Amino acid sequence: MESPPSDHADDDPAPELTPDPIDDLVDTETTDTETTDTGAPDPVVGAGVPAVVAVLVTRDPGSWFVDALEGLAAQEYPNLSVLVIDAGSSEDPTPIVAAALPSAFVKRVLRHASFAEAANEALGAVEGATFLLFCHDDSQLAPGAVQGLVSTAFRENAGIVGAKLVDWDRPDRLRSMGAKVDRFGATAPMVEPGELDQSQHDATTEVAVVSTAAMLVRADLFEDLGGFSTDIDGICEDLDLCWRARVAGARTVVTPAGVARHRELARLGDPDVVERRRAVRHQARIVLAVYSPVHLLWVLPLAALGSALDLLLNVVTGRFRQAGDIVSAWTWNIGHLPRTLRIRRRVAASRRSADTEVRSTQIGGSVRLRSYLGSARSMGERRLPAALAAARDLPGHWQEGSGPAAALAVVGLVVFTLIAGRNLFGDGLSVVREFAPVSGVSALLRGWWNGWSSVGLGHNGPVPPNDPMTWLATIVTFGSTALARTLAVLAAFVIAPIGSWRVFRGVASVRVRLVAALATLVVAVPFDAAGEGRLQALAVYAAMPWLLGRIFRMTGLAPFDHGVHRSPARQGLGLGLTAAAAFVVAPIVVVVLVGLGLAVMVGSVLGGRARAAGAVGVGTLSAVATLAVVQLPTTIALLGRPDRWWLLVGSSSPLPKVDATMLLRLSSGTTSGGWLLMAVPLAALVPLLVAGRWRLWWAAQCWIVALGALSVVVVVARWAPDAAAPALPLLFAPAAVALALAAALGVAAFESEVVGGTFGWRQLVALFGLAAVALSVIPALASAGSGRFDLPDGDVVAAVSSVGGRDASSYRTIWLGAPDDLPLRGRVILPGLAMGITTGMEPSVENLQPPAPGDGELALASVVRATLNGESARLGRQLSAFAVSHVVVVTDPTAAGAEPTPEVANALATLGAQLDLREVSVAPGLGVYESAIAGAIRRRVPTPAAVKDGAQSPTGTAATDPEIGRPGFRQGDAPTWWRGPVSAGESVVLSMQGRDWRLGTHEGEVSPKPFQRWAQRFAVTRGSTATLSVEGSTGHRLLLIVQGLLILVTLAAARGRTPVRPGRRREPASVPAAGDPPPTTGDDT
Amino acid sequence: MIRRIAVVVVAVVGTIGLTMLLPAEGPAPATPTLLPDPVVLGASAEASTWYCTASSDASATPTTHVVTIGNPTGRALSAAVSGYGSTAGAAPTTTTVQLPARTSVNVDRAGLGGDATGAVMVEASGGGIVVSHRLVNGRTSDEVPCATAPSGAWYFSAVNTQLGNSARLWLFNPFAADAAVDITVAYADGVRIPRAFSGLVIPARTARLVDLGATVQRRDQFAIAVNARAGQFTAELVQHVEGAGLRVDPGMSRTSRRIMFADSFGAANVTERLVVFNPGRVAATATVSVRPDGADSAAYPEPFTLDVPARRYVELNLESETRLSPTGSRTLVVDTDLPGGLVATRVVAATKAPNGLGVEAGLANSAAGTVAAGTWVVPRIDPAAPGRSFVRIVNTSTDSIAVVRLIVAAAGKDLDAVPGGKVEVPAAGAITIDVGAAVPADTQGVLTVASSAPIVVERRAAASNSGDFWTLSAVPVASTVAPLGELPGIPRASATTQPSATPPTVTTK
Repeated sequence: MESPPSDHADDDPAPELTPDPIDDLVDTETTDTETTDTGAPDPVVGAGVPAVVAVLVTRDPGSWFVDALEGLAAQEYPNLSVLVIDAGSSEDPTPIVAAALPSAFVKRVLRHASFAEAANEALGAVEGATFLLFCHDDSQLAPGAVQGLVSTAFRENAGIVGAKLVDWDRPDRLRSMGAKVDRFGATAPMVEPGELDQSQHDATTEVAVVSTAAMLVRADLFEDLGGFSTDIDGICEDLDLCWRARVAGARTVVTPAGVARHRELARLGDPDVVERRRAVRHQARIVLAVYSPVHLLWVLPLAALGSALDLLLNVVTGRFRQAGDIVSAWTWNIGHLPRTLRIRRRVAASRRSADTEVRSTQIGGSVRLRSYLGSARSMGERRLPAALAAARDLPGHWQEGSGPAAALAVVGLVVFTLIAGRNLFGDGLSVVREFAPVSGVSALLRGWWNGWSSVGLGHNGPVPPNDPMTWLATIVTFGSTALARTLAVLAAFVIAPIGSWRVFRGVASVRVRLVAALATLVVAVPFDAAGEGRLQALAVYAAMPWLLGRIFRMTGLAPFDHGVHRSPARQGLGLGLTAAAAFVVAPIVVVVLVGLGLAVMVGSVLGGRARAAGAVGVGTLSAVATLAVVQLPTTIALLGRPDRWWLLVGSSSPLPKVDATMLLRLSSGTTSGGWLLMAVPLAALVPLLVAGRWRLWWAAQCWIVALGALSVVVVVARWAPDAAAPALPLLFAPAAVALALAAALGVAAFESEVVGGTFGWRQLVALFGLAAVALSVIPALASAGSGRFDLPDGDVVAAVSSVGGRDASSYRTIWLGAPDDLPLRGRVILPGLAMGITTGMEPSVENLQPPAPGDGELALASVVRATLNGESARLGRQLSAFAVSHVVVVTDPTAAGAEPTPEVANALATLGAQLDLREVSVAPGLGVYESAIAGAIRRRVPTPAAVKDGAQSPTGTAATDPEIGRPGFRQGDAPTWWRGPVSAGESVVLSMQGRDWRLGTHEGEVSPKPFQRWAQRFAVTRGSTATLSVEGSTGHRLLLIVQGLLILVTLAAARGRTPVRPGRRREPASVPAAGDPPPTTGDDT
Repeated sequence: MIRRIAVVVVAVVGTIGLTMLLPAEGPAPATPTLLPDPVVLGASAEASTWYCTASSDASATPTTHVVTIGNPTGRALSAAVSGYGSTAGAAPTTTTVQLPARTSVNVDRAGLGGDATGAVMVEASGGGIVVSHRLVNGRTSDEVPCATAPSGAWYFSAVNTQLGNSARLWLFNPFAADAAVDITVAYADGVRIPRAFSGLVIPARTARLVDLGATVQRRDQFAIAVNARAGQFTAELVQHVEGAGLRVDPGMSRTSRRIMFADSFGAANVTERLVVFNPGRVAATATVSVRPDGADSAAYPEPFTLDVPARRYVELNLESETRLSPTGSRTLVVDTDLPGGLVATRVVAATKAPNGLGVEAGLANSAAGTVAAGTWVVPRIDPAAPGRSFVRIVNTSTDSIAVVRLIVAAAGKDLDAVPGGKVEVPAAGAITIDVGAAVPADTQGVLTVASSAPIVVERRAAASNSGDFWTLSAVPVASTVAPLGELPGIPRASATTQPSATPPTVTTK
């Protein structure tokens, strides 16, 4: 059994050393440092510059060792000494050192020491040095590296400085520039090893860890920290040291000012333990040791959850070695807990920085999970055949049983979805239309709780419900917003088929359910929606089978009349909760819900089932009421705003031209597949021809739903072509899912009414239906080929990210373009032209459901409209009052340079003719205009008495102009809290709508006065540091609490079960029960 | 079975029926209102900006450059008048001018300080104003409205660099970034971009003068297209023809499918030349229709059909056309089948003052009218003797009589320009009104022509020193702008229009 490695921090026996370390400090000529013949300087004596001692650790070095020594010898740093520590070489390296670097000292550690143990010898062997420079025996410093590292340490006030490491043989290739770390200790390198060095990373950067191959450490810091931790040998000792240094208040930076070649062949690790396993367990040990108890309370459960997920994924995918690494990491750390606790005490004693400060330098999400998902992209194709083979080899009872089949179906769905969207993990989800990025998750949550949002020009009131959901999603992805966005898109591909599977749960065979799930998956709607950036369409598509299934059950008609019985009103609770979940993303789901209810009611009435129609009506009303209640704040806000229909529709754009092929294929045309996309609708015709009894009944119901949805498309296209309408994939979603369910009913009919019969036209039709279902898979497989659903690679937000230079939180951007091209929800200000407002240059998910426009937004729209009508040549000047620094005109949502529409071309020409806007060349699909005179959102202006509200000051300078002023407020720990100095006689102008903002000064609280009828101004009489903050409304918070309670009550009520009471069955015997049905419709009657 | 059949029929027929109900066309694309240049903004506008590009030229005979700012509205405004020189990096010199209600103000470019020559930008604190500028060189002069919108392309159809003549192109970039342009020269026999005209940089906030004659020497006719590689700019051409006069050509920044010259006239000693320029890359056919005043549409002369090769021009000398009456007022309309449209310029020269036309011996060109409007503003109108100052009004409506009110805003008052204040213009008809007496002596005014139907207005006047004359388009008011509609006897050319089998006498050089 392996003995636990010792930690320097505790009192374990020191490594076996020669009797007197001083005696072992040798130069090339003598073993006595005090009497050196060469007159080599004492390593601890300064010479006008800080003393640096290079600590080169070696063990059985290769031929490159001489190069490493020569690299040190070539340094021009005047106060550099070299200490070579031999960590147990079989041959004494002293002669080599003497030949290459006569002034160096050699210290031999007789036992087989790890790097950490050997390096820690410097603690006792070196005195008076300002810096220690740790090096490997396979790293060679470039000339001037020491000077660069030392100067960086002073300039950056860093405790640890790492060098830029390049490949030994190919110095134009990067090996390491340090690494960032996530909250679980997993590292993400700053550069890709082997990446071509084009100076693209040449900047001094704060990182979490730098390599010990060339690491400069402040000597006093190293001593305070007790050197490297020796219990984590060979790997991650650098991370441990850097993290502890950060906790102690010292920064770690990497700098290109010092360069070293690195061969990465140093023989200092434990070869018996594979590197990955050690890395996993050491990272876990570091996490356990460095976090404060409070922080550990929530990091540890998350780490455990992440490890469990990692373990599961590795087991499922057959990567048992990696799974073993995870198990090993936890068991090893549990076994080493006492030692870890001792280290924790030492870390606590040295703590100078709060964990929140440390966290601010870390990256969000889980590096390991992201890495796994990224690798899934490339591995997906190989796993699918394996999964299919595994399915083929499953025991027969698995294939018969519903549970295993469901599990298999889910696994298949997930695998297919991961393959189809594999490139979204690596390349990221482009910000196209509704695929808005997520920024400041905690700010979103605070805004939701306080009832305040900075969207547009700021507003009080209920925040769209997507904010808390976004927060929850990022919790699941360990804070990675990018991963949360990607998973939100891909989730629809799994949720909808599962919903279709569940529609026939307990009422049809596995094959029927499989076909229902398959047909739901392969329709064009989700692929179109994903390719076009339609999140609302994906949400409606995902919810559709769940809504339809619940409505079907409400009818109480066979075969959905078995099991428990609830009143329609009570069933409506569940339906409403389902709709409420989709409502978060797509408010129009409430309209869809009502439409579905009406369609099924119509079908029921036409089929002579008035009672069922009544039940559906009651249930749908109940569902709508439930939705309204569980979304209470949004409901209240929606009813109170004049543009409620605009918000419900979810679009500012009219339908594009719809032709017959689009209608028949249920596709907006983004997905390729040609006529094969008609396979599902054709298969849906089969049950109408061959099915009987309840199968025909429900197939007809599905067709009524589908025709109803298609009728909406036709009505809008023909009679309201210019009205804003939901996107085509969203309008097609109900029809697509309904027809997919109908296609599954065809399989049910095949099982019940075709198989076993004499061969005739029914068999032929049924076979045709099966063939159609099989063919329908082809377009889906083809769409999966791109790995990103043909979603464009480029997007306008990425394109404008290169435009910077201003504090993103202090200036706004207005976006102009065709309503369907903007990466946010814009409002139409001129025919064919919409406008949106963002803080900074990046839209956020909040911008998808902006609040009703206030006075400020109306004024801004008026200014822009007037300019586009040719009424101003100085738009920049007018925008300065609104703190707008940039105008972005989107001609193409993918930034690919498509021809702009006439309206957008007109806007481009007009903006190009503005005297105070400068065009910034960014990308072909964009026009970006920058104003040089924008005022900040929070700015200081002089002498309120001299400035009249709304006054224009054409000749004013930036410092005296109330519309420009001077920025100077910095954000506190939340976007609702700002702080900055204010001089006597100055006013603070807040270009923000909304109530409840207060300015706190030394004299007390200052109340705002209206400025320009929509903004606010705070007059200050004495200079002080002022705090600008907004407090949330208590009423709003109470409303949220009530909402939470209502959700809980509704959930409880919806889940409550009422046993079937035979005497209370609503439907008469004429309505068939599954398995024993008198026919309700069809030719059997 | 019946129910099954019914369900199948409903599903199939319903689906097919829905596909048949789909409209053949998608939603009509929104067509943004493209305002003409120049245009008078409504009085409610918060600001208006004018660019007066051409200026006096230090290298030529001393020339005076005067900017006239007219404020026909009832509210007092102010304007920042900035002079831009040719020195890169030099700040413009700005003077604030007060604009009392119903007055017009002259600003001498030389008085602005800085460079004595160069472009002028006028930024008014409101809408409703109109700005023109005139260049005076000894006894010759010309006046044009200033531009209200920069563009990335400007076209000049008629340029003459014969010996003794000068053709100087002014380019003005008032923006914060440099602009770069190419000048394409279209000859009768080819097109080229001379090296000297390639990649010309107009530094930010400067005006640049390009002497076309220095590069394109001794040509009596060529056309140019000035296209920006980067940025936007304004351009004007100053043409001095030895012994004939001075003309300032504001050029066109956009092509158009229908162009109207409202004030064409024939007289002894007057030559009238129409140059149609096709800056596009596709050959076009243009139809030039002539509508003599007072004639029935059935009696209009046969239209001229011109084949205009890509990036080339065609001239039409009207005085030599036998199918036209040698005397009398008329209206010219140029139509083309080219979707991208054409540009055109009408150049008028008088060797001797004809009687009663308000024309002295001299040279002028009139800018192409591409829109009709309900209200037009004539930038500057001076007191003049009878027969020396006219306004020409063409009613573009085919079925409505235009009741036109002419108001002169001068010295703070609104005055009727004609007795009774109103005139009537018959449907599709035109009248010429002498307005020389409408302005009190020793003052100048701004003439507003407001009509009950869409009209086109041009101004023609002789210089007060009897040395030259000018014709210029009035400036339409933005809110009243309308497309040039159908006109009787003038079928709009379509893509299927075939060139005339027997072309008229057309001079293609």
